[in-house]
Amino acid sequence: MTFDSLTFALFLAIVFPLYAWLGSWPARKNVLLVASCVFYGSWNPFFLLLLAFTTGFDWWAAQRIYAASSMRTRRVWFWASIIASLSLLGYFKYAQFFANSAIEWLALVGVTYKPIDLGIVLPLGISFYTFESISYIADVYKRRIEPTKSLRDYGLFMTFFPHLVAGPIMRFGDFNAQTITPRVVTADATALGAYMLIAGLFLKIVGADHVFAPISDIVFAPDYKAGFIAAWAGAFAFSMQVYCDFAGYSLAALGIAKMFGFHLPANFESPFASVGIAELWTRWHISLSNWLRDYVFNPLGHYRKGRFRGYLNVMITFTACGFWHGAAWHFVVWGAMHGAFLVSERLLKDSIGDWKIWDAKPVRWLLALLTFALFSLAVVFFRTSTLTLAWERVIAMFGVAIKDAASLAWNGDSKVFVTGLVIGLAVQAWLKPRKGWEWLPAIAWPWRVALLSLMSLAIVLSPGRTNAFIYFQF
Amino acid sequence: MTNSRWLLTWTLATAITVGGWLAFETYWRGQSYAPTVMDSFDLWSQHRARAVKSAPPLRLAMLGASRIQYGLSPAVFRDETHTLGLNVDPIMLAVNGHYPLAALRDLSEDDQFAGIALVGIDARGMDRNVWEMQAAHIQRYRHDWSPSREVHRRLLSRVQAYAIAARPDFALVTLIKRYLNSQGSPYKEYVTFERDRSGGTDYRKSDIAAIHTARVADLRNYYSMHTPPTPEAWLADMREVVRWVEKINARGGKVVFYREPVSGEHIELDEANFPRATYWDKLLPIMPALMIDFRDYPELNIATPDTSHIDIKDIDRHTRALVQVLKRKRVL
Repeated sequence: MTFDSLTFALFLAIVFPLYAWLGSWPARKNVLLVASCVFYGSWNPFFLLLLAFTTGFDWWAAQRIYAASSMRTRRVWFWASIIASLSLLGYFKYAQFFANSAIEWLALVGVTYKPIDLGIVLPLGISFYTFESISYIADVYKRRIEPTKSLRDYGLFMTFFPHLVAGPIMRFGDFNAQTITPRVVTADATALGAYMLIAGLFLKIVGADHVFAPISDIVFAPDYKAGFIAAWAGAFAFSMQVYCDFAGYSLAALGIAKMFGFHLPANFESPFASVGIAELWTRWHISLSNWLRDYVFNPLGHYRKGRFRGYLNVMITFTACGFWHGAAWHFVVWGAMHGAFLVSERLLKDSIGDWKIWDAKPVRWLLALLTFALFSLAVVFFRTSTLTLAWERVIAMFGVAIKDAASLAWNGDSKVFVTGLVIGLAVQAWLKPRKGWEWLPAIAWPWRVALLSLMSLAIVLSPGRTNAFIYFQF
Repeated sequence: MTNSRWLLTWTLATAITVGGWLAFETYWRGQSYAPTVMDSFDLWSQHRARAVKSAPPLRLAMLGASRIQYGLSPAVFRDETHTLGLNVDPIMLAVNGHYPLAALRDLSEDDQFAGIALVGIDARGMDRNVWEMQAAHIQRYRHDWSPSREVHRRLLSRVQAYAIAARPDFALVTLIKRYLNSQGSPYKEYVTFERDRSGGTDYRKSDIAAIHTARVADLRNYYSMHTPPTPEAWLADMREVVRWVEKINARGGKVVFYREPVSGEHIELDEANFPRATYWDKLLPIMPALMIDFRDYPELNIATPDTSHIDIKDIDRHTRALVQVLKRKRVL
């Protein structure tokens, strides 16, 4: 069930009062674990078994790693767990891609096979919970944490429903500290959490689905011939759409967790107010970029092995990031583009130096807009389903007009999109210096009422477009 | 910050939200708009899932396009069969604007389906070029349908039945866009729609002359752009459909093909392109299913004001007449 469904409203209306009413902390953890299994199983009960296997095996493997007396045994259990996790991810997410790629490559040398459909359905959230289980095993192996003896606590870490299907990607150390100490449901946390849930739903339902999706749907339709303005409008629209969609989901997840007394790390912090792609990745899908830094970039050697090795490590990390998003070449290109932006940015910074002019406000605004434009240029490869279509849109963005290119009509869709874009960027600029949601309780209550009423009413009056959350496909 | 301020915040915001929603409902109801259930892939899947539940009651899947969806009432069908002492569960799976053979194939491939498939179709709808029109519905049912979606869709149907605000054409952003485009208020539908996926065309609420003209022009345009297959090619394709029907028959199920009432220019154009004698009638000897053409049953020959669909006031009569025909032909 998704956070924007009536099923979830019913689910929350049952689970939250029950959780709050129970006095015993172990009983409340049991309720959360069962509720999380119901939450996940409501999509496809079969995949609950897969999640149970991953959870059980990794919990057990971590015990074996911790108990092992020799380095060799530790290593065997570590790799057994990593291979098991990656094999499942590889089969469900990448088998079809590799089969298709093999057929295409063989065709290049004259060996032709008919395309095959393996009929594999991707289990929801597998990319997210696989990364969480890998981080747990790696942290135990590196002796950063001790494994838990409680299968229930580990199961709760893996399945806790607010973050189960699309993150934020949690670390066991952070989560376990919260399962050891009883959580307290307070009126303040419930009120703030519910407020964040409404804000997240507003971003998703109103922002992503009603304001931005219509323009990106037009421009990225395969048979649409985009001109210069239309191509940029489509890219900007999708950047905002994917932000509202995913940041909205993450915010709702944080809010729900807060209602239950848990703290999840922020996943988005005004990314489109960033100056430079490097800063953007500290504000965009933060839990993923931190995971990639800790479990890919740092083990590869960071910048410690020299500048050029460092650039290569950045490229490897972000290409892997693209591949994590989806089993398709256009995602790989998207990731590689971000790697290239980061390397270029570092080269530029190293060669230009620290001039005062870079700190001037108008210059920083311009650089923030340039960052947004670069993000939007790359996001074309994220949005389209083929490299050919992405290339058509990108060359249109550079003014190479396709014959009979369409210009976007200045109608209701466009006017609402432009208004939403300006407001969206301005709000992110305003929020940038404010960390998290601690600013909200501090503002005057009439403003809180006005904002909450506006968002709630807009949600109630926004039926119809029930687009799936974009990150659910990963 | 204190709890009372949060309480005040939430109390006032809830009051404003509910008040705003009530004002919205009141305003649009005052403009003669009404709530209505909206069709969707999920609603189709919800009913499709019923088709494979075990008997009794006998599951009867109504396949077809708008003529079935807006021409038969599952509730009336159930009532009429009850009066005949039968326990039948009619399930509306017709999809407006989409011919149904993909759905028939889907039922034939589903070993759990052993009921009756009532397929509203004409010779044009059997052309291989339009077989896949309902494939997207089947794909969504096979891949996306879940317990979670079922609960959501059931609740949503309840909400849609009572709230204009649940209609997508009344979404706030959509209304703002209409205003910016100087398009005025949303279109007043003359088609009604129910939770059981049946509907009705109320021609008293429409400009019937304009609809009639548009309908005929659409069909004329369709035939000018799509050359019908030869009778031989058409009949060869039908052998595949015969195999689907045989599969259902083998499980104890039955299939009925029903050519629903049409009139005027519509039947003239259909006859000019798919003459009954060289298409439909040629299928009779090889199709292991009952085939009903409305022209052979005076009780089914009901007026179609726009040439293609019966009026909402005739649905009851049409449904009961069809039940009687099916009973007479020993399908029920």
